[in-house]
Amino acid sequence: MTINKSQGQSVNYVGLDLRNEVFTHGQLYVALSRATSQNGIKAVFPPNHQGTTTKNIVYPEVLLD
Amino acid sequence: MVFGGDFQQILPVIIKGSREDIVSASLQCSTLWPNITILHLTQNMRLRGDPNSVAFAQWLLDVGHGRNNTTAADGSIQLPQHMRCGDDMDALINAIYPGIGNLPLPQDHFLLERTILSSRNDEVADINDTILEKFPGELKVMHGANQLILEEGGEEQAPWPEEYLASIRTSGLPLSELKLKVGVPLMLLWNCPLQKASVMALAWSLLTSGTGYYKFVCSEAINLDPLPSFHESHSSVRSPVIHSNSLDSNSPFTSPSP
Repeated sequence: MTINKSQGQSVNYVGLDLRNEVFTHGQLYVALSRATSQNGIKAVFPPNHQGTTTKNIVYPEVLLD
Repeated sequence: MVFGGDFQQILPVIIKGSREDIVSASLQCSTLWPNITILHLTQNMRLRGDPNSVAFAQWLLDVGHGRNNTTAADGSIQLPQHMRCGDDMDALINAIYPGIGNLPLPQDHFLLERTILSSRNDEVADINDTILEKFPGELKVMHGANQLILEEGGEEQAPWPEEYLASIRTSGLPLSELKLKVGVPLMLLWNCPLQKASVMALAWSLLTSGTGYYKFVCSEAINLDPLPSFHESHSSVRSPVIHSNSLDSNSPFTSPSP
């Protein structure tokens, strides 16, 4: 399902399709925080991409602290 | 009144909205905001079972804030190395859904405690198709709307090709083909009369094209063993009008105001 639709849910095993980077505030945080443990998260990156680098978009002006 | 939320999460969706549009649609920009008392929830309840939860919960907060060296000035972030899973989607599917292609069918809880997330609707549709292909069993394809009906007062136009209608993949509108196998989970996002039909393929949605109003019409309800109410098969079900305001800009349809 889409990251947006997953907001509010919990699952034990989360696969992240990061072949396309996230495009708005909070999407990476929501995606990573659906899992009930960090070992439940696996991700796939763009083809020919060696590391684990992706994009995180944060609009600090909406954060309270 | 109590508002619950977390500003690290996704903000209200504004189609083609700028950063300013999105920020100004969030609660802090409401006239109510100065009158709201802020209470903080401080424990991550989702991670209670994880022995390393304290450090991970803190890392999540840092990611959500883009702080503590998690996120570079250009927005790039390096995730923990253990999260990397192979080189392609097949590797990810095998890691999240091990043995998905084998009988016996997985238990319901196996599927319900796993998910693959993507930022894009079209990628989600492709991933679902790929997993469904691996899943054992006979594929049943339910076809949705394949015609447009001119609303009263609308202007007659050349018919849209069926192939075009079938190709629409956008937020808020179901796919033209619902592909299912017995045992796969399904999310129902609308209230529909389940006692009359187990699952509905496509409802109808109202879209406009120029000055003409058209309805997408579904005339087929779906039943799959072993869902309940099988005796009601072939009855047709209609859902309320769906106002889709997210069709892409080269679509010939635009949305009416709800």
